[in-house]
Amino acid sequence: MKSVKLEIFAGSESIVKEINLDNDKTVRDLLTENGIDEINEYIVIINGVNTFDSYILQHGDRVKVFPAMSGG
Amino acid sequence: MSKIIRINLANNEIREEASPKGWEMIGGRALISKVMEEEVDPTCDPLGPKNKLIIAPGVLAGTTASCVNRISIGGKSPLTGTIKESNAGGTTAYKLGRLGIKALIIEGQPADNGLFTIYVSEDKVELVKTEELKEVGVYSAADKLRERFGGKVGMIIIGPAGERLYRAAGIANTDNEGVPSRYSARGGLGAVMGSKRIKAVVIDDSVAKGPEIANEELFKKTRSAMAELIVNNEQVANSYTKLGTAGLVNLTNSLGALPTRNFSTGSFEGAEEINGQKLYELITSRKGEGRPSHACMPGCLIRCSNVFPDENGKTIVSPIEYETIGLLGSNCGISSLDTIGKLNYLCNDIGLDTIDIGGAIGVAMEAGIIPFGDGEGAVKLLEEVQNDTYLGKIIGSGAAIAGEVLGVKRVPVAKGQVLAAYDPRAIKGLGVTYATSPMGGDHTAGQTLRSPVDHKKPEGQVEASRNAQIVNTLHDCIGTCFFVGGAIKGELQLLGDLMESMTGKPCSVEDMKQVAKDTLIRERRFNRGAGLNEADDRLPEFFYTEENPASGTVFDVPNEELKEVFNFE
Repeated sequence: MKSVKLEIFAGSESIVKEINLDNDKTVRDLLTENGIDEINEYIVIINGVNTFDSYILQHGDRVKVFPAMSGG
Repeated sequence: MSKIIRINLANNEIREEASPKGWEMIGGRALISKVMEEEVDPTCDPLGPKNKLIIAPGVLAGTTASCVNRISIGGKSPLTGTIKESNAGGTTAYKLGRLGIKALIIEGQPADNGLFTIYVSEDKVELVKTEELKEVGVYSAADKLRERFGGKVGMIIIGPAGERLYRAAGIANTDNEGVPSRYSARGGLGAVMGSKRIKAVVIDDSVAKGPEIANEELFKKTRSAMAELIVNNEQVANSYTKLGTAGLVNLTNSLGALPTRNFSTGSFEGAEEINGQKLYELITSRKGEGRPSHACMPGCLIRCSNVFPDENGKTIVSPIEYETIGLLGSNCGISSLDTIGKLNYLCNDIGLDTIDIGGAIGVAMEAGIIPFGDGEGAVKLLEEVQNDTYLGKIIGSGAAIAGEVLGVKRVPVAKGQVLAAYDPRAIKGLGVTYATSPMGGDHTAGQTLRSPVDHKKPEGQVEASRNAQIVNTLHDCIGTCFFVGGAIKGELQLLGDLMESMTGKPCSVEDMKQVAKDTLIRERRFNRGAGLNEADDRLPEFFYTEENPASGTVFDVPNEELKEVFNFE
């Protein structure tokens, strides 16, 4: 079975979860199941690379989710 | 807005002109590019009498819609040798807009070494001698000017750095509380203001009539629609409002894009000590004067600014921003927000750009003047700047000059200006922007962080940068904050509707983009006239040859492709 680590950085707290995957799942599926529908409003970084919603998750992926921001 | 006011320091003449016909949609950066192209010889000495300093609010300034009161200050930059527009929040654009002033154009140079303040109100514009403010820090100068001109004025001020013509000198604008810390920081425009012997512009809108709005009904309707989108935007609440721009630290650190130890890598082991969560935690636990969220402009609903307090709840500085954390923090190996806050305050008070100074200190660290991570040493370096010692002058000149003088080969600049806090090897679209923007190394010229490209690959970056440069320029021309685009979920037509409500003429997104494209074309023309060419549209060589270990990449967008960024020319 595949498992991935999901970290959602939203506000002052971050949510960290280990998630087991029974079958092939895209990033979009994973985020939707974790309460994030508007995926375009987020930046997803998997193993250090920004990644898009159709990416199929692989065992051991570290998925970090940030509200989309653009500068300071 | 209908008036343009010229202040000529050569003969102390002040003239008021009507805004030229056809300039209804021209404000901010667009106006600066027009005045520079029509009136300023691009080969002029940036610190000589032929250069002009132009202060121009955006078209929507003076109204109470959210995020529409940014100020543009421009001229020819003594740092980059290019045209320059430096953009800030604060209240000065709002107040100029309420006075119906489209631009203040400061021309010429006085024969002697006097020091003046320009006072602007509904009734008069006058040049006032303020010799007593010579070498006075920005915060204290603001207090003294308030005592003289009243507590509610807005102010545009330079510090000793600008008076001394330091190439990294910025220009401060006051915020809603009168704190002079909203910086038009970039490109050494503080030195241009100093070369004209202007310490401050004081804007008194106490009896202003307010801006002329052609279609009040459309304005109110659009303002409400925007407000509704912004206040219901959960991402804005969770990021900008709660953490401020410091919320970016985790994101860029995860991409390997957080400048660390003079851009030697893109991931910082001390990131958790300087990220948005840590900043929020410190502000909320220390209480006192601290505020995790704060509006930098009148009417702003995003409120991404903050007030950072010390352990006793007394303000260290307001605000601390991501770029400052990246350049004065991780780029110098410094992992203490207290130290970064102190450095930030010193820069603000001396009148310096935190980005260029963070770059210069990073370069000084690489040269071995002080070790990376030495926060106390960095504070001492800024005290050298304050005291105008020879080492201080070198740091105050910014990283390009500091690197040359100190014999450092790795100097992170484009067109002489320090890159913002995104490593161009890890976010390559920003690398394209740094290399090609008429402004030099500047993230606000074309931010690609949200672009739908793999940031580590060269493909698609030119297009991403082109689109971002057009949209960023659009905001700089109409005076909106770049963050509003995301906050209103990309519904840029709402900004067009605001423009229509002001001018009475329909305005599409394409119309606004055309103003932006025309502006970029004029800016590039000015730069070519100043002697820049394609060879200047490059990053320093080490970004092409030295791998960023955190991202595992070098900058490899081909030079041939960089030529295509402005294919609309």
